[in-house]
Amino acid sequence: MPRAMRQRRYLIWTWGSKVLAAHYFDGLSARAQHAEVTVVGDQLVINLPAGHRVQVPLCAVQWPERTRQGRRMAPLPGGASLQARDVPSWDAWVAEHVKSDSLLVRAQQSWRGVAVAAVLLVTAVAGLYVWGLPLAARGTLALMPLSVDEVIGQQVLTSLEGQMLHPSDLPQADQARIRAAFGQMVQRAYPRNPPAWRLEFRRGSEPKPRPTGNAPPTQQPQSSETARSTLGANAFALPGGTLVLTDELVRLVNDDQVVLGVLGHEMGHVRHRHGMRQLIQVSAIGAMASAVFGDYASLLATLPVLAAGMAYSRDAEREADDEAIAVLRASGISPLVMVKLFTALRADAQRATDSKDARDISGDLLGIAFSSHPSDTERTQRFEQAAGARPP
Amino acid sequence: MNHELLAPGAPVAQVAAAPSQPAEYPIRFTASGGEYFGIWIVNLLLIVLTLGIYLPWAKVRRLKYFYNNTEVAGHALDFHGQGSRMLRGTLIVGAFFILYSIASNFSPWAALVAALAFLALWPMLFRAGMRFRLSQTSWRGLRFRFTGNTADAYLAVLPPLALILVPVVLGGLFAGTPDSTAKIAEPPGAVLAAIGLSFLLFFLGLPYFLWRVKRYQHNHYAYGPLTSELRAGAGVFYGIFLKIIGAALVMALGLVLVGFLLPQKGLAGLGLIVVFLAPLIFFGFLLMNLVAKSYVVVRLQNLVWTRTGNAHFRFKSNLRLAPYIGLQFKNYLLIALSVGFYWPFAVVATRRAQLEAVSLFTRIDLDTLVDRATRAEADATGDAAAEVFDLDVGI
Repeated sequence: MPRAMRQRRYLIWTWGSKVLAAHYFDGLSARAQHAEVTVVGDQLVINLPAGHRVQVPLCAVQWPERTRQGRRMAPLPGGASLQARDVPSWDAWVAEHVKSDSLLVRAQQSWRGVAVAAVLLVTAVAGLYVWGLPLAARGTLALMPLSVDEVIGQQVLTSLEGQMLHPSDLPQADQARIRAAFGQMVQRAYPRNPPAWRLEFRRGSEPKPRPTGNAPPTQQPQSSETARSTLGANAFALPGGTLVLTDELVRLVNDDQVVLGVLGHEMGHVRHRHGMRQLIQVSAIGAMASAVFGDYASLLATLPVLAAGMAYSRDAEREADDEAIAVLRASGISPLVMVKLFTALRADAQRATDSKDARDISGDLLGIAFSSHPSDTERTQRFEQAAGARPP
Repeated sequence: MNHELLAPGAPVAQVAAAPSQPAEYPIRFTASGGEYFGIWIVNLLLIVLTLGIYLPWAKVRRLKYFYNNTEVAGHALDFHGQGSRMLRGTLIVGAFFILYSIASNFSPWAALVAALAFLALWPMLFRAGMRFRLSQTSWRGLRFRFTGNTADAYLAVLPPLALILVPVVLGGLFAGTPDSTAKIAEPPGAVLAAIGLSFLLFFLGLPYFLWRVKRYQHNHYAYGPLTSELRAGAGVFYGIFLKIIGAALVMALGLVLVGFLLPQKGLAGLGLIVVFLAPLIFFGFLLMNLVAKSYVVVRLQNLVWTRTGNAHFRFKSNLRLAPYIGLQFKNYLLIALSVGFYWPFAVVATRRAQLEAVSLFTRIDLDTLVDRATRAEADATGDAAAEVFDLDVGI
């Protein structure tokens, strides 16, 4: 309908309220009928051409929110509707006779309200991230039986076998000794209800090809460089209590107490169900990010999700370090053995990269922001403090 | 007044006395980014504070704002969905998704069952979503309708879904039998061939499948006695996709050329490659994403809407590519610079460009249109499903 028909007719007084000129649609035809609307008592009275009149209880009308732009349409019971001819007159009339703006509308219409909402939103999201989500993940895990962890852990182990993990070539005697020592340590650390655990030894790199007659003559023996590029000296815990220790780590540190410290750390991951928590938290963040930014974010939203996941992971490492300290102490071993681990790892890395500063620099610059582990320096200090021996 | 049912596509004489010249009604979009920003922030705050329960109400408020700002022939659209009713659908779909994501971590068999269930249900949900969205949309006091039936939905949607799920199913079968010998069994050649074939068929058939889906949608929009038709064949869809592939090849070739040229400027080695090539690849990727996506959006909108109509009315869409790409560049840039806060402005600007490119042409006196009396209430589950699976059913 052309704009020329807009008229400010609402100023005419009648026996009810002021009259609002509006379009009336009966819900059966697309034809707009001129309507003069008044409020009488708790009824909305709509006067149509040719003396027709429609009467509706005021509370049955779905009044639209006030916005700066846009039309106003109020659905009536039974499929009919009223539509504004002139939006400012409609708003003024509704405010005077029907209802005032809700808190929500007032908030989103004023810059102050929007600013407050933005600050509250950022605060709420931060709170959710720091406390809410970890708490929710713990709550979910409390309801989830441990058998789920075991199934998932088994699944992960199966998928790693043959790809990153290879059968151990550590002597059986060494394996049995470490297993027994760790068993005793777990008993001492958790005398009441020792957590379930299973210790697996694996090689973290491809076994060197054995010289056999079948081997193609052109095949070069694998250099230590390519072998290192796989898992190497490492240890990790899978959901459900499976601890995996690589031969390379056992050989590198060459000290049972350090190995026990590492296992204590991994036991911490198991006891706190870090793997499962991480799974829940990261998928929740991903879901939230895609809920907030539907369209453009596919590219932009992945970075915060990644960073957030890594921050959670650093917290988990700290928690696991604390567990290692507690477990070692229960067996009367000084947490200082863990410092040996970092020294050995760093020496190993330097030997490998053949450049003195590469790891230190990357550790300091990128360590906190983009790493899944806290920096080595921070972790070393933690163990030294726990041992009561501050570095000079 | 004629209140009896009119068959879809009824002859002109029955609909109205036709004016000689078709009248043109350009679509106007009056929303502003600033105002939507306020609605968006308040919605987000309430969603976070209610831990997601507010989601359907937020959606209603968002849709109402966009619809009430979309004017055709002097009257705006309205959305009638109710948060309380849509909450049920959101919860059902949400529960399904949580179950699926847990199950797929749990075992490949569970993921397989979930994938098959998804396959079986999705076309139905797709139709339900269309029906819900249209039945809750009104213009000039009349509700829209979606008249597509379930069988056609399955015919249109199932083939591409099935092709995409073949590899999932086969992969699940093989991952489902874990070998204790620590070596994952290599799938036999026949299985690999089947996987390859289904991928090939999917990509070769993509324009055709898209055409089938669009045809299913655009052949079944109804308003009053009018039902729309899509008057385009699959060939035009293939044309659009061939151009995309050609452009992608040219761009990839360009990247390769640059990659060849770079190391010749003195063998500075790894550092140079990282410094020059990494950003180049990143921007190349961004460009492909942005330009290719824009191209598809623009061409498809123009094609599909310009060919939609019937004897009494039709649309014409004239969305121009270059300004649209420029707009998307600006949007990406400002969203990144504002850590996401530009998002509502970007959405409004994009929607404006898309909507204001469209005009409605009609020979009918709009006042004479009369609704079919029956109004079936559609299920809100489909709407939530459509939203979660990121399926654009908007009009």
